[in-house]
Amino acid sequence: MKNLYFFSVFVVATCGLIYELVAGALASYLLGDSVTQFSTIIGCYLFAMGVGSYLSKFIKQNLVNFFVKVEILIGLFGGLSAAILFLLFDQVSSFRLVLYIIVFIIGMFVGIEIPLIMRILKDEIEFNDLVSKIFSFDYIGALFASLLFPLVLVPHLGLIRTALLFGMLNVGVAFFTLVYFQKRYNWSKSLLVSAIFSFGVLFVAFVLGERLTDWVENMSYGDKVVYSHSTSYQKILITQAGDETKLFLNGNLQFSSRDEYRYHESLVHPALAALSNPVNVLIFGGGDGLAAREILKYPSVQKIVLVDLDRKMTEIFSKNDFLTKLNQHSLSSEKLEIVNQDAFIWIKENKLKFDFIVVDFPDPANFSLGKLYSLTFYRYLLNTLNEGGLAVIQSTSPYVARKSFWCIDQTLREAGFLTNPYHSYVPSFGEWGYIIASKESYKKPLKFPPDLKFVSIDTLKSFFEFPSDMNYVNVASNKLNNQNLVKYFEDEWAVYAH
Amino acid sequence: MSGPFTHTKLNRRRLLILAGTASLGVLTYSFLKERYKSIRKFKILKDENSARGHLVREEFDANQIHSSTEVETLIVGGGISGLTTAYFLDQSKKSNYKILEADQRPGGNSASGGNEVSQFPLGAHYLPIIRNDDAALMSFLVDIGVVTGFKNDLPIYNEEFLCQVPSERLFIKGRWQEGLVPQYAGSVTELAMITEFLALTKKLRGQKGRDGRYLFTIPLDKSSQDVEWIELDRISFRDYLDRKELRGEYLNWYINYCCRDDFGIDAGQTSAWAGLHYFCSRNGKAANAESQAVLTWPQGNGFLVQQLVAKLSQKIQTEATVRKVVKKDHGYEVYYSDGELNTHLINCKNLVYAIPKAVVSRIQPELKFNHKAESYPWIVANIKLMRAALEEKTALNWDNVRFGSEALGYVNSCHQLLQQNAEEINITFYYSFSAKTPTELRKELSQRNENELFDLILQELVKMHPHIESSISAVSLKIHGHGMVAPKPGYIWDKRIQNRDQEPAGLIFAHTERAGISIFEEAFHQGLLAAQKLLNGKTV
Repeated sequence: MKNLYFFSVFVVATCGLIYELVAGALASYLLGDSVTQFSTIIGCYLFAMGVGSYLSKFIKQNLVNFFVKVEILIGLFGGLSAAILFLLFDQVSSFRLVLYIIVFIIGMFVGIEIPLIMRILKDEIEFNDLVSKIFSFDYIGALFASLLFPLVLVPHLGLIRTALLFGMLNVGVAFFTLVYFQKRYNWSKSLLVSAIFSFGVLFVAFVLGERLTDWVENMSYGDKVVYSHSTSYQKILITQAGDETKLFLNGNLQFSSRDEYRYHESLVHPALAALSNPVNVLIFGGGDGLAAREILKYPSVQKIVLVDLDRKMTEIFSKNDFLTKLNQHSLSSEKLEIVNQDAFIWIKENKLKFDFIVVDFPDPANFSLGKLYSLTFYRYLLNTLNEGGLAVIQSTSPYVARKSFWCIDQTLREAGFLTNPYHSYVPSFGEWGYIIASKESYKKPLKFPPDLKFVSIDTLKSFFEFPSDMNYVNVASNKLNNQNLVKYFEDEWAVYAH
Repeated sequence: MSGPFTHTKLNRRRLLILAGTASLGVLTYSFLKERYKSIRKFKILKDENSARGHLVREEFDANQIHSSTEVETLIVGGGISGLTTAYFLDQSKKSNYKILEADQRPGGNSASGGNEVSQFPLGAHYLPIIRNDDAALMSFLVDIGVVTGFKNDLPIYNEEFLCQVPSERLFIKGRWQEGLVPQYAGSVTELAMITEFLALTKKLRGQKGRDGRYLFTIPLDKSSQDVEWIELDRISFRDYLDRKELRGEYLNWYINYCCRDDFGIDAGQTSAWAGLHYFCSRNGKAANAESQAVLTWPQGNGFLVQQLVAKLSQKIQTEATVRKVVKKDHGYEVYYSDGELNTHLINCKNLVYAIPKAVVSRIQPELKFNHKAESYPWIVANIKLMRAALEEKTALNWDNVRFGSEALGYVNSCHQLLQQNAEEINITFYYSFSAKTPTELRKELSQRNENELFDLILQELVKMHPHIESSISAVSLKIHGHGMVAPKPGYIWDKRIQNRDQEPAGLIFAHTERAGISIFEEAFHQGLLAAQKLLNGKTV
């Protein structure tokens, strides 16, 4: 039965390396910068193994019994490591600390394993033979694991289930040790029970692990993720690299702190500065409070109603220190009222009228969002705008999605608006488009609030000029019963890795 | 060797224990698995209403009368034709009427229900945009805000009610195609047959008979009486297509699907005239929609029911089952049981039967009918589930059907909602049964419990969505023992001639089986016709 024993060395070695790889890959996924993550994880793990090896000398008796316990513990910790780390990622403030503690614990137990096995076998196998065989199997296991991990395990099982599978193998080694040497040792029943129980826990987690894995595999953001939350409407994700913060909704970039002022100044000022005395303002979308920040630069504005579907979104942009610095606490302004409701339902029931309306929805990337760019929606929008008021609609890129842009324009005009399309350059997005919609003709502003970084009387001139590669094209309007816009948008953005 | 890891042999005892433990484990596992399967984590509700409906079959003893009232016109049946009768009486300020409905809610085959996610249909779920020559229905649609105005004489339909895109998809040969007419991976011959058939229906849509009337129109009473075409009512739709040499697997399935969807029977059972009427009578044109566009609502035609009910001056008496009708000198005595089975008496001058004749002959036995309409059973299942389960490869559509299926597929009841998609939605699954006689089928269905009935539906759903079951959180089944009238060969035209104007004084039939086709428009016109008879002085 020596072979069986060496096989267990092989299993144990494979498991050990797998946990290390899982931790490294997972840290790279979540924290970005894979070189740093892998190198610190490997360092921590190897050091912990050294600590484990050292500690093994203090185990004086009941070596096999202790070996079984160590196997069960490695199985549990290693097996659940990926799942625990993913679940804790959103919840704890110092994620790195938790990560290294878990890596250390696993490394330490793995470090105990080999010395323990050698001592158990030292009386039965000649020392030369023993050392050579044990280390051979150890390294073969390592090779096996390092090939298996990227080629088979990650693609088919994902990180979480890979860890769980090997956790079950570790516990399996403990279990077979117990069963095969039942006669030789008078095992306490509790050891067998805890092996079975641990196996059960890992097995259940393995069955349930698929959904978590799916979520994880979709994440591949280069920067460090500082916030991530899935609501029933969307997945909010904020990354940070250096002094740059980015917001992603469902994986699509919404803004980068480096140049968001270009977008939000372009969105708000060309229309709002053209109004003589704007008092009531409505914002659709814009839960980040950045459009509100620009609007609050106008002292005549008394009231801002911000309608954003997602409570979580307005919450974090009201509370998180970094984000409130970015939006200058606009969401906490006394003038601002937050309504967390669906925009279509809200506008259908709304009786109020506004001087200025910002329509800042995500791009019409699916049929659900396409409704918010429909003729029906714009008819309600027309009823919500005061006679002399102005509305501005973010209208995707007229360069990338020329038909989509002019489709929005066409739809607004069909709804009864006069339109003034314009565009500006935002490095993170590229050439971006907006449309001013009004009931009375629009006249460009003669002055802007002080301290704008991008929009000025001079830059404004170029906004309304459309070069021939994004100039007007004749397209059909977008209605609920044709969703033309979504079709244009899909075709036009399909060529970009979106 | 004698160390701890130099184990040599298993002894027999240990082997037995091991084997025993292992087999016990396997047994426990399979037992639990089976149990887990048979216990569904969601509830299945079943709504049959046959108990109340079948009260009419029981002996009735009119001894204890709880109340006795009088009304000028009593309308029996709160489906579309009954409600429309009342609507037009109100329009002429003749509001001395009462409506009795046996079910808990009005609407008949257009009734609707709902849960915290949305309203949903319990039967009919859409109305094609209507013929422009149907003035009465057009002004009703204007009245309830479905038509918001006219442009170049064409109606402008309320865009919140026109079916949104994406509207229809068909699961065929392992993938979803757009539209319900099968196209994907069809051979040249198959596709040619489909094209030829569609061209034929397009041609007939605008064609008139020798009497100058449209061959197929709505209300169907106004269709051409040209014998050449009326004769098609004597043969089956299948025979007609065979004569035209229109065949092929794709076309066959499609025609069958359409017949089962509208009549509850397949093309071999449907009259050729009725089949052609389905394809050729709808040619409405709109200022803001395609000619074959449909209007639909989360609650299906329950929306139209709600609009009708809201317009009526009188309340509808629900859970009121008429037990006996006695002809008197100047009207009728009508006895009905309420929800607590107490008996009430209504004396009326005029009586409108907006219910099937099969029921009429039980409550007023002296009325004899040569032909009774047949109707086949249906199941309508409303299923609350996670939307993601239906969107594995393509976006969820309004109508989702599987090619080759015996069932009718499902509609997304939340499709017309204006808000952003929620994670949880209701879908409405339709299943019609016509492989045996209606009586046999009703008996078979009534012998199955709700779990077995839902299994039928689940078997269909998993063929489109293999992992659907785990996403389901609630199911409510509506069993229609008697679905819509089945226009078998001879029913529409032979009987129309025999039965015409056989109504005794003060008594009017208004059920859609009078027309022979159970669609909203026909029911509406039956109601209109009944009201006109009442107003034009049959008796009122």
